[in-house]
Amino acid sequence: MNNVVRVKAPKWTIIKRRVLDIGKWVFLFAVIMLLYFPIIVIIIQSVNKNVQGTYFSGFTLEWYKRMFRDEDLMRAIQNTISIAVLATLISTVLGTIFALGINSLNSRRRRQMIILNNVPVLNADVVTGVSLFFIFKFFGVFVGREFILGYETMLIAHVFFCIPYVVLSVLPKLNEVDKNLYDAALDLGCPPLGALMKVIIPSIRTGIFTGALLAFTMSFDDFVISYLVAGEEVKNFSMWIYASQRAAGRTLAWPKAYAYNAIISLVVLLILIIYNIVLIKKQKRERKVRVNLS
Amino acid sequence: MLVFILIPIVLLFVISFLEMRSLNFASARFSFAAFSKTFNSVYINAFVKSIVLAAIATAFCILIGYPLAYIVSTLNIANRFSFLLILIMPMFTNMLLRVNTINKLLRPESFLKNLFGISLNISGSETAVVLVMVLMYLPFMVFPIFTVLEKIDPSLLEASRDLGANNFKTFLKVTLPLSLKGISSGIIMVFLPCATSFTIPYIVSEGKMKLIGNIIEDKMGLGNVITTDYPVGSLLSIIILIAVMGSLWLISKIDAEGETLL
Repeated sequence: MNNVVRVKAPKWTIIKRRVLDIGKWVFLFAVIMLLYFPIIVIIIQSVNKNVQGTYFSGFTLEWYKRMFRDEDLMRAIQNTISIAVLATLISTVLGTIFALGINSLNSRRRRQMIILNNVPVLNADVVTGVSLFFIFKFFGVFVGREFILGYETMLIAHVFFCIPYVVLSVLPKLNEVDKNLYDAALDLGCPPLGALMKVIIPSIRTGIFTGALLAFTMSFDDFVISYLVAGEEVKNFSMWIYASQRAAGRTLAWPKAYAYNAIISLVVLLILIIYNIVLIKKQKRERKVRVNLS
Repeated sequence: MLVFILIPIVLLFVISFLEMRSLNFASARFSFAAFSKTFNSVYINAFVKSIVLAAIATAFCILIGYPLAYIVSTLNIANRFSFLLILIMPMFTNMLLRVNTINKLLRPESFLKNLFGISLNISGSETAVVLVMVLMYLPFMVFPIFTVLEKIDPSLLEASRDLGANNFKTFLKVTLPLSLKGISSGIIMVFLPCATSFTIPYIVSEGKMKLIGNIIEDKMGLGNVITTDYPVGSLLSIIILIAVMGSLWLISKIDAEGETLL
């Protein structure tokens, strides 16, 4: 059937394919533009002299200077970064251990544990936040500290909601690991812990790395859960923004936030570009090796 | 893990049956007050509105996200992974800030108008809320669909073509059914956060629109102190939790390893 059509009207098919091809790229480009437009606007606004941001009235770096002078904002940024780093480290280690544990279970128990692991992933942020809020509050009543909410509770909450992402990205890699490798290491006289560190961990490295990256992204951008469990004193960057949103007339806050975000976007972009260059170089090298071998 | 997952559910359940001013168990007593307070028209309307808006946003996410994931998965470039990174990158920009920026563009007097002469003037409306939801959660629809499309064996598509189906029919009979798993994960990943989001309606409508998330926020004593009512807050959380449990069950049926949740 297809062949008949092709013989009858080859030109038409070619044109159709061209149009589809162009349409495909236009669509991709449009969606990407839609996703990136706010970020481009943020970067433009961060160097805009106009406070309201309705006009572009000239280039300035004033907001970047003010951002570093704003103690409240700087503290919020410090909290965001330190919590993201700590939560990533702790949850990557704990998540990997959990994944190893889940992987060693029989299939029924394994299914149950994965369902349990998925609860925080699927749960609405508000509900997670509310539950953690009650847990911390009651623990506070229990140990006699009414104002328990703060930096520590925020860190625990972040570790809690980051762990499942690490588990989810490590598990598939663990599935691919050949079980005989571990046994072979044991047979060759390696102690269990050594076998784990030397055989299993290196082979699930990419999964651990993806998990850590996800955990960092989640923690870095979190608002709802932090907002519910951090109390009134400690703020991360999202909470600082929300506070600015709530307090009417704090228009000066926005350009500073734009400046901070422009810096973050540029850093991420830089990391991505470097990563891609490294990746391309690696692929080229591999191809060369393959050519030499053949 | 168990401590943080199962105990809170029990705790929420207990609190919703109590009547208390603050978190003080001594003055708390058993009552159904929270139930009668929760099931009044204001909250039910908020629930219905949240569900409707989130459903519309989810539908748009499928309409845009599926073709996007499909196109990316058929691309012939060496590094499809970096294409996904392009999608992830906007997520490093703070979500609240992105919502706020988009909202400012939707105002009658905006950067857009002064730059291109386009005045959208839909700020604060339900359309604006849905638009912002779609822009925020689109990547969460694309990823799971992309994951399952990647895994489809190309020989299946070849087989279908060899058996005489055209491209469209192959897509309808082979690709689409095989990617349903990703679509359902995507729906859950987009619908739940959209329906329970309180920041998007708050920022877009400047506090005027009350969706279910905003009500919980008020009841938890975060908006302001007067509206604090922990039992009602926990009861509303439990209602959402039931929906979450439903989707958990669904996920455990279609995707036991949780591959599409990342």
